[in-house]
Amino acid sequence: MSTIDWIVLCGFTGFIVFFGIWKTHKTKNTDEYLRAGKTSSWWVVALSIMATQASAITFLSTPGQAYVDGMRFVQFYIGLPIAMIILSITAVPVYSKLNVFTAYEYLEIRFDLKNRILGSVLFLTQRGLAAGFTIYAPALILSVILGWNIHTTIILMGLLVILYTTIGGSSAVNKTHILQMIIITAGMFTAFFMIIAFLSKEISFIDAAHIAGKMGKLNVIDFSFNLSDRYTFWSGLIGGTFLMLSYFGTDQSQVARYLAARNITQSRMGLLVNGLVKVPMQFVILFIGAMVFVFFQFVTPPLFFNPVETKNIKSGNFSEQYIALEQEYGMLHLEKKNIISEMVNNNSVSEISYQKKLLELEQKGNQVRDEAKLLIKKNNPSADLNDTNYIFITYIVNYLPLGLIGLLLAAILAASMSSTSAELNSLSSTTMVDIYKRLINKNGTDEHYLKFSKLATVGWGFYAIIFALFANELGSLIEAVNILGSLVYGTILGIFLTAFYTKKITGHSVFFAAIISELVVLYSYFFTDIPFLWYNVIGCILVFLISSLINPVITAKTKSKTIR
Amino acid sequence: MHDKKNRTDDSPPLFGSWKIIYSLVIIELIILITLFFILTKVFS
Repeated sequence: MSTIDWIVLCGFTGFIVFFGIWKTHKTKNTDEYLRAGKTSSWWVVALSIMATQASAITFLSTPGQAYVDGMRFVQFYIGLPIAMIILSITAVPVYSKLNVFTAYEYLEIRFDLKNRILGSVLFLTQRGLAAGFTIYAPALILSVILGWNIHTTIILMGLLVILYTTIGGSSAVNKTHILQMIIITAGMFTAFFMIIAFLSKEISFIDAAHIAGKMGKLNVIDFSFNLSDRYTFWSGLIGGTFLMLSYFGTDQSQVARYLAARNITQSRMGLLVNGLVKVPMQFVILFIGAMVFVFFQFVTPPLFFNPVETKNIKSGNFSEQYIALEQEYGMLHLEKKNIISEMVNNNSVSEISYQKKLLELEQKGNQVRDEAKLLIKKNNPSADLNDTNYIFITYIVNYLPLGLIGLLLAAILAASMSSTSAELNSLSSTTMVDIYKRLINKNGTDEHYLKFSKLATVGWGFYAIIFALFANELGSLIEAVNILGSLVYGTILGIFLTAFYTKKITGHSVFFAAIISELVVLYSYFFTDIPFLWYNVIGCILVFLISSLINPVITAKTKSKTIR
Repeated sequence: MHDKKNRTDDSPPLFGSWKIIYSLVIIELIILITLFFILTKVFS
């Protein structure tokens, strides 16, 4: 990486950390630390919500996902705008009226203490692990680019985020989110326009879209109803809505963003603007991935995108076999490139005969890649064979001009810092408000609770770092995070929906229903092939149904005990 | 007083009613899905 890129990267990153500390180091009470003093405008809330969701994983893994699997992942977000509307109508007025610090406080007001603790513990478990992923992702980039030890990189990255989040709390999170979203948006559009500019030397933009489409990368919408298919319109609409309802309505890392708004209107507008912007934003990021795929039809891509594993195998016993596969892959690529050139020159982008040939060659290329992966596994049994997360970063580092590499890396780091800081802040709020202040020390001073909140931020930061150190063999990062979320989100959402929409169901009923539902979701994950998005639906509906069914029995028993 | 008014005021800053804003979000989603469908069909 050049000096200019280093200056850009360190300049942006350093400024964000400095700005966060400078603007918020005078935070004096828990309200400022945990809810930014409830002073935020709708546009700050909207940016903060987007920055929290847009982690480095979004930038690293999503374009790679489009490169490998096409753009169908965008369907995952179809339920988001609907969820934003439902939450604006239901959750926002309730939280606003009760003036809560965390979403789980509401569960005690509506049900009882054990439901509040259950909700908090499920959140802390899931979000604590997810925070590990959001630190791991950018550390992975830096370790690959700089050749640093990944463990050292994770620790350094984690400490940087812990520093400003601990000092400024929610105020620092919100203020830095504004800067981070500016850098993220600039990085995203720069990547988009650069890839289009590079392509235009060889082909037109429309030709590029045809090439991507013919090779299965513009498969944005699939209306087929197939339960075994992970991303379809229906799984996105139904499962996605449930997941987004749970994520934005019950996950404290997001709830805290709109609890910081100065009134109910600002909270609602923040959510709805996110509903308007998120789907097009994901589309653009995935489209960048599809265009990177087209770019690599004219430039030979590496046989395997992880440079560390490639270097390992080339210096090991299977070097000759691997180089032979590289040559075979290169020949197939050349043949494919010639067909594409012929297709474009003849203005025949719509001809099916070309598409058949291209898909055939693509399949052969994939077979060669599979053989290469087998060799890599033989050479190093602990090697990670999923190279999806290295695709976009390979393009950035090797093909973007000076200065822009630094900008893109700064955008990725900004995305990581924005979501990690929101996660640490929300983990700290929940630990302090729902566990420490509620169960352990009810009579502390505000100063004491502020100190505890800061300590909790540091504690969760270290927990996340430790998890990140073991996260490098879990496949595609973005999927891993979403799968993890789906394992508990359905149950949590079921508890909240029962709270919002029923009046008679008691705390005992919903608690037992939640335990049974969570066991069913875990069974589905370990012993069935049901795609993970459906866990949100299963968990939520089961809590609602089971609590409705057992409620008359439990209520009768409670009454009978009371009479005795 | 000002703070209390801020916390209870519930009229949207644009378009006069929340129903209109909710409708806009849904209309945008329908337009996007339609465009995605066209994109998928045209380029595949």
